[in-house]
Amino acid sequence: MTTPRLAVHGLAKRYGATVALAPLDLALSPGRIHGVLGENGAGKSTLVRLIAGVVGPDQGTIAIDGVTLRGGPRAARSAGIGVVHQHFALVGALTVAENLALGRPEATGAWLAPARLEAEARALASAHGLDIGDPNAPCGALPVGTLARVEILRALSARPRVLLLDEPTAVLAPAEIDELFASLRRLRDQGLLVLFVTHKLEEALGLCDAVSVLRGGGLVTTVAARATTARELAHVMVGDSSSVAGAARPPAVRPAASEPFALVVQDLATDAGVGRTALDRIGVTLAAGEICGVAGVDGNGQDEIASALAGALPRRGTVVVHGRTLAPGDVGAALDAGLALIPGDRRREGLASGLTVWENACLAAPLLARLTRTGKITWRARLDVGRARAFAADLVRSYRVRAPSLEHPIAALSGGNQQRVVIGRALATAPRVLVAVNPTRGLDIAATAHVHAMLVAAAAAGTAVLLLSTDLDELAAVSDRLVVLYRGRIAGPVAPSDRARIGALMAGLA
Amino acid sequence: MTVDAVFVLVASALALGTPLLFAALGELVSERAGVLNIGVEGVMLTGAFAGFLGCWTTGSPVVGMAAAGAAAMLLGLVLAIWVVGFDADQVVAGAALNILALGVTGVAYRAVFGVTGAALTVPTFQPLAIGGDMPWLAPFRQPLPVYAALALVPLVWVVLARTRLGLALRAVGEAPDAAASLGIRVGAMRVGAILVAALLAGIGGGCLSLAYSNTFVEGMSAGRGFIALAIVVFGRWRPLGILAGALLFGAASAGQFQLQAAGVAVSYHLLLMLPYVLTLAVLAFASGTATAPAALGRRRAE
Amino acid sequence: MRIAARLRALVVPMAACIAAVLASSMILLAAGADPLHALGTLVAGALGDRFALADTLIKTCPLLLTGLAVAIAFRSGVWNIGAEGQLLMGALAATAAASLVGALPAALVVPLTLAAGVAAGACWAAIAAVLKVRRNVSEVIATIMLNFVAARLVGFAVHGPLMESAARYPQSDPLPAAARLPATTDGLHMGILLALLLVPAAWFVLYRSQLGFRWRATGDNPEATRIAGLAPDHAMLAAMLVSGGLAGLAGAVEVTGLTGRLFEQFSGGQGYTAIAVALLARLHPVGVAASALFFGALAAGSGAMQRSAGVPAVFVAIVQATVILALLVADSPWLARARIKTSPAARSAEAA
Repeated sequence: MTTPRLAVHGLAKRYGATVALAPLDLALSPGRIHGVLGENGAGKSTLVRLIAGVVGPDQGTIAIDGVTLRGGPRAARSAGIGVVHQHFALVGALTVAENLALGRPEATGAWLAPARLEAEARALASAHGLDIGDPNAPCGALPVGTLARVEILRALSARPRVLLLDEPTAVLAPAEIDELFASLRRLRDQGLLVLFVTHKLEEALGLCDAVSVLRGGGLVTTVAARATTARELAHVMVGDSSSVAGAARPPAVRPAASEPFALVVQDLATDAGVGRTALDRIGVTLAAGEICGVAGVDGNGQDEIASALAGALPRRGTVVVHGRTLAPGDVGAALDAGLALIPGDRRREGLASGLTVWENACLAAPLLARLTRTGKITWRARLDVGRARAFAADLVRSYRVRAPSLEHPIAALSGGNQQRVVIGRALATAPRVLVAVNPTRGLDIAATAHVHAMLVAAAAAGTAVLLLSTDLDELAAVSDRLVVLYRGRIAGPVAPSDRARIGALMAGLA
Repeated sequence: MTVDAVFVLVASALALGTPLLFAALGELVSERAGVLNIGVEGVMLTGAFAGFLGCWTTGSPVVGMAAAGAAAMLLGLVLAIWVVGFDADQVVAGAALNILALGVTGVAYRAVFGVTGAALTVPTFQPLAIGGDMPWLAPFRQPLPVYAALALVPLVWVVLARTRLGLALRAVGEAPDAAASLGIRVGAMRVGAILVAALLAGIGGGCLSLAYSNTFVEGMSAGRGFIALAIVVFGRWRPLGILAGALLFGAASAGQFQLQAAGVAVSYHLLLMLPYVLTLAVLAFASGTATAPAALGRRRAE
Repeated sequence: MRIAARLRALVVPMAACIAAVLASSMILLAAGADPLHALGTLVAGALGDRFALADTLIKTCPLLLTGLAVAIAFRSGVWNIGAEGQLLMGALAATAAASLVGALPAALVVPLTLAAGVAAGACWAAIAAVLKVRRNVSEVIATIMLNFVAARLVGFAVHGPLMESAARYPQSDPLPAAARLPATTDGLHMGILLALLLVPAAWFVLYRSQLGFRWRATGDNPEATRIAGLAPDHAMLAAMLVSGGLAGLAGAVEVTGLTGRLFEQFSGGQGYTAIAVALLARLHPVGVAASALFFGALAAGSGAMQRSAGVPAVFVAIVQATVILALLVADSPWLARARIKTSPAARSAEAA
């Protein structure tokens, strides 16, 4: 047997108590396109980071043509691994040609003449059949599709022996995807090994020679693409839903007829931006006491929906909370109407990490207003610290937050306990609508179960919950009904237990 | 205005603009790497003192200038250790640098020269006698540092815009994480940029005591470092813009002497204010700081 | 844990001061002076007798006010480097106001004069604040520029409209007696008392008012504050106005309480020293009182040190700078990370 181009042996990685990747073996020969398929959290990103040298493995080895890899990203690159990261490593203020030059120090030398860089960029682009437009345009001004092609081109320019692509098609239009596939096939025929990491079944089947499916950090199976179907793969990918105990939910409490809907969203749309997905005519209607799950792979518009509803992102369309139409871009109006948010990025949007536990527990305009005599926040209003602490103590008790004291900075708490504060704070306003984005991300099993119980209890108390999550188990456990978000559009509804159909919709099939 | 008056104005704009040009070009390099050094004022002051000391000791303005650069880089090293090593806030560390330089030069001056009434003077860079006695060349008969500063403008431009080093430097100032993932050593680039910036600011300071005047007085940088900061913004982080800014600020300072001499009744205080007001206006109306390096002033940990 | 945290909050600044004094002494040694003798005369000059103490308090007053100004701005995430300019504008406005309202009933003159200083300082800060909030202009650059503009405005005023009637020196006429703050024969003026009263006031606003809560939240995480519906932009504007007002008050108090007239080089850089004062105080009002006293004593003692030990007064600047540098080391993120990793509280919370 000849030496494989890429040999992965016993590769494993843990983060704390979480097994990100169970010991994994792969041996791949050159001249092939190999797919790595899995849903969010299946271990795909960890595998990519390990092979790219961004993180080191706990155990196991990676070898290229029999030579074991050691060292960081530079070593990996010089060993012949070209990586296209999911979040592009492009510098917005530099031009396309300059960004391409950054990726190949060996080829360009110390002197950079713009004409030569431009010519080289054009030559590269035409050699690989990738349209990058004007090489002298700054990357910051380009559409994401073009950026993706620049990133791919940069990886190719180092003449890699293994090309690793991490979800490269997420931002590409169908025609662009076809072009990309054509050039990947051409590269394969030239003897390159292409490792194509994706969650999209159809792409994996259409492009790859063979597909390895990851689930929960482990390799489930490797099959030849020709020998399987999308439905089969979808089933393998999302697992058997019967193995997950779905929490039995009582039927939603319907409110009195005076106000039939807690949340009505019509034609919600936002513009695309750097790192932002455009939302396209989102429509959702929620009754009080209902939990509506929104499934979808990361980056399909979850954060955008949450921010737009909360008034933190400019939007078009109508949002009505309990009969009140919200003005776009007005955080205060959304809070006043009773819309509370559990943001997806707790550290950036949810907490002031230098402030104490009790101060973070009060960090919301409606809560703060309650702690003044007039019930309003004015410039002169006092902060009743005694009541604020009492409120925080109450919150800490009822949501079982483990904190050394109320006076400790919130940063001293574990992620799970921080999240309990965020959720407790959101629920303390007795919101009519709760919008939650991945509320259990990064939490351990016990904390996750507790968060789920909190959401269910809130719904039972009459709050309408819009749960945007990438975790299908979570959605199955608590949702009354489910829709799927794909590229800024809502598809569905779909039964929360119908994993195959959910997987298909998440992958943009069906 | 007579022809002579114009000549004098051009000559003094060049002379007064040169220290600013050195310091601002250095600051440009540092800011393009993402480091805002508001301590440039202190670095200039240190350069002025060390240059004076070096020249006083050896009698050679060239040695003095070397001393100015060396001392400034020592101060730059402090900033580099704090900003890159300790990941300290750039504004606060830079402010500390200014105060430190004020104290150290003051104490050192007193320690070396004691309390003397008479101003000590040193030999200075002499104007180059170019072009024989052609009258229209008169304003351009300037000491060597003036030409060095002017030559530095295209040099800095070439390095930033036309070399791999400059490209990497700009990448570090715009997107340090992306740069790091491409294998660029962000910390090393920033240390290098800070040191180059300090060297140039030190030479700019040296010009104050070795070319523009022939003595040192405490606090003689007199806010020029801050003007250099403004010039970088005013020049939109481009070498040519910075040249224009330095000459404009130089002319504004020169103009007040001329107006005074001409007996024009505009307060020279108001005239001196103009560059700062102008900078604020440029900042306010030229679409904010859109052209500033994206990672300027940010700590890595953020 | 709470006591330990409080203790740490005291120990770090003190350690920074000690480190700074040691480092500065080494510089003295290198400069050929006897550090012990120099520091001895410094302490005597700051605290040795009644006059020394009075001088210390007089020097503390503007540092206390500008220190509070900087602390409030920094706490709110606004890098106000412009206390110097705001102080100058306060002094300028107070001087102008005093000559305008000097003839009014005495009970009105001082309040109006001080109010003019506060208003001028606030307006001066407002320029930078509006530029930051509306035009995304860095407040660091804007406030530095405004410092220079203010210095030139003062120069213009004392050479022009406010120049003394004798027209000999670039300085204003003495303020009318009614505009002068009451003072003892040692020169201790009412402004010191006023500054001290503002310490609990600033503490109250920062820690016991909605506004202070918004300031601190904004300074910590403006994005989370925005999501919380607490308009961080408005909080920053308000912080800059208050900060500028306090610095303006410092200028007004200096001119009405101490100098009695306006002149060029009116401020000896108190607005910049204020940054060191605020940082040493860990941006806490009560700490500002202590650190202003520390720097005030240094300023007062340095004069005596220069006279009797031959060490220039500017030596104080080295102490200031090394204090800031030492504090920055203590605050270095990698030190903080190491601390969080090893603290027992973090470990027990992690286990939860």
